[in-house]
Amino acid sequence: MKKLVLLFFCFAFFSFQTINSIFFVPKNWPQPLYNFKNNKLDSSKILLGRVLFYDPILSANNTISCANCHSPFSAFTHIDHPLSHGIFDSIGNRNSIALMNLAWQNTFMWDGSINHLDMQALAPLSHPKEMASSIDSLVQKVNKSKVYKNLLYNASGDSLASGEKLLKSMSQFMLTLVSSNSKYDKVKAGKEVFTSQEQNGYYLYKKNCSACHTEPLFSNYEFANNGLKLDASLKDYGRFSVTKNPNDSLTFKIPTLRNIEYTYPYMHDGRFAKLMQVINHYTSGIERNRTLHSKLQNPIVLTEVEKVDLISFLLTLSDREFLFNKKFAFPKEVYFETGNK
Amino acid sequence: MRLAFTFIFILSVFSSQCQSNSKVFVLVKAMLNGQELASNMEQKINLESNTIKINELKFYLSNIQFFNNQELVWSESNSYHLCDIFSPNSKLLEFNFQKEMNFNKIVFCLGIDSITNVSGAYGGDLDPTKGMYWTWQNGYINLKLEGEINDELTTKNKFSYHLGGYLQPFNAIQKIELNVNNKKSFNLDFNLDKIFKSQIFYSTNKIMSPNYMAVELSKIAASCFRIE
Repeated sequence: MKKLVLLFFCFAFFSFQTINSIFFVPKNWPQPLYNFKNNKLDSSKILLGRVLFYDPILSANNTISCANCHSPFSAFTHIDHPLSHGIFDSIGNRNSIALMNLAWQNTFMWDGSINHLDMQALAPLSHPKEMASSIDSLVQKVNKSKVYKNLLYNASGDSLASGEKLLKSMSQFMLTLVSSNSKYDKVKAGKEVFTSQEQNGYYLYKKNCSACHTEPLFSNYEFANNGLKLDASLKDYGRFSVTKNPNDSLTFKIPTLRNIEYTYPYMHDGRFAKLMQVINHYTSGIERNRTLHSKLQNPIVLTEVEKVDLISFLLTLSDREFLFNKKFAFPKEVYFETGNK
Repeated sequence: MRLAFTFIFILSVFSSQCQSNSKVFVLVKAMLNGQELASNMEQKINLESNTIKINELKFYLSNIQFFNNQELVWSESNSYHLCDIFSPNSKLLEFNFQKEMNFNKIVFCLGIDSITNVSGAYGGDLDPTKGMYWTWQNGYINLKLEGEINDELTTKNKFSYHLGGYLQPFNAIQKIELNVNNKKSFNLDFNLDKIFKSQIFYSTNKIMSPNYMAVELSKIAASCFRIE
C-alpha cells in the first residue's frame, strides 16, 4: 500500500514537472507560458525546426541562417558586434538577443514587437537587413528540397510545406533551448557550493539586481528603462515604437543574466563590451529621465571589490552543457545521411 | 419482415437528414460607384473627379453568426475567411447549418480578433504566407487596399492602406450587423465609395501600421457592407 502511495506521489510530481517526454520544467521553475497544446512537441518536428534554424535558405541569397546571429557557442546570440549584421553585411539597428528559456516568455525582441514564439522567425526572415526574404519564399524553397521532403513527411505525415508547419517547427526547436545547468543551478540543487566571493556576489545580486533580473530565469521579462542615454543616430525608443505610449519611451525588454559570460556585447545596442562596463553604468552612468525604472532612481553603490564579487557570481550562471549540447548543434547527421540538397 | 422494416427506417432517417441539411451561400462583391470590381485588375472606375484603379483588395471576415431576432441560431466554428476580390473562389462563402433554421440577421467581424492575434501560427486562411500578416510587429492585417488614382505615373498617386492592430487604443477589428431575409443565398456588397470620399483618403495615401487613422478607416470600411 505504501509503495502505491509513493508511486502516486512520484507520478503526480513528475506529471507536474514534465510537459512531455521531451521537455522538462526544471525544479522550482514556474510553469512555461508557451501553450504546448497548440504545438505538441515531437522529435521529428524539432529536427525539422533545427534543420531550418541552421539553413541559409532562409535568406534571399542563401547566405544567412538563424544561427548566423544566434550561434550555439555564444548562447545563441551574435557576439563581437554591437549591432548584428545580416545579408550583404548590412548592419541592423539592434544587438541580437540570446535565445534560451523561450517557453517562459510571451513577448520577443527588445521592444516586444513579436507577440508569440511561433511568429518570431517572420521578423528576421523579412527584414531587409537580416534575411531579406519571406515566409512564402521559404515555403517554395523547402517544397523543392529533397531533404525537407523527408523531414516534413516524418514531422507531419505530408511532405508539403506551409507557413504554419515551418514556423511551428522552428518554435519546437527553439523551445528545447533550455539552459538550467549552470553552477548556480547545481548550487541550488545542493550538488555544488559557491566560493565565498561568489556567495557575496549572490548577496549583492539579490540586493541590487533581482527586482528585474529575477530568479530562476534571471529576468522578469518586463520592459524597463535602465537609464541608457539615447543613441542620437539610432534614435531607438524601444517599447514606445510598439505601444505609442509615452510611458514606454526608452523601455526595453529585460534580458536574462543566464550565460551572460558568453553573450557580450550588452544592452539593446551592444554599447558595452565588458561586464564591468555594465556594472559601472548602474553605479555611475545612469541618465535620469521621466521613464527611468523606479528601482534605479538612486544609483547602485558598490565598491571595486564588490563589483568583482558580483561578476564572479554572474559567471556562475554560465551553462556550458547548454552551449555544447549536441541536440542543439548543426544537424550534420541529416546531411550525412541524405547527401547534399 | 424485420429486415424490411429496418431498411425502411434507415432510409427514412437518411432522407430526413438530407432534407434538413441546409446550406447558405454568401457571395462577397466589391463595388465602386455602382460597378463591381471584377477579376480584371486593369479596370478603372470614375468616382467624382478621380479615376481609380484597384490593384489589391483583401480582407478578413471572421466570427460569422446568424441570428433570428435576438436569438443566436448558428455560428461558424474556426470562422476566418480571407476574401480576395481578385480571386473568385475566395468570395463565395458557404455555411452548412445541418438543419433548416430561420434567421433575419448576420453578424460578423471585419478583421481578426486579438486572441487569435497573439496565439501563434495558424494554417488555412490565417497562414502567414497569405500576405496578411505584419512581420516587423506581429499582427494580422485586417484589410489591404492598394491602387492608384488618375493614371499619373507618380508615387503620390498610389495609395496603400494596410489596416490592422489588435492592441488598445488601436484595436482595428470591427463588428458588423446586417439584416437579411431568410434567403438561401445572398450577396454581401462591400461598397468602397465611402472610403474614397473620406477625409482620410484625401489626407493620406498610406497607412501601414496600427494607429488612429487605421482605426478610423476601419470604421468607415465596416460601414461599407450591405446585403443585396
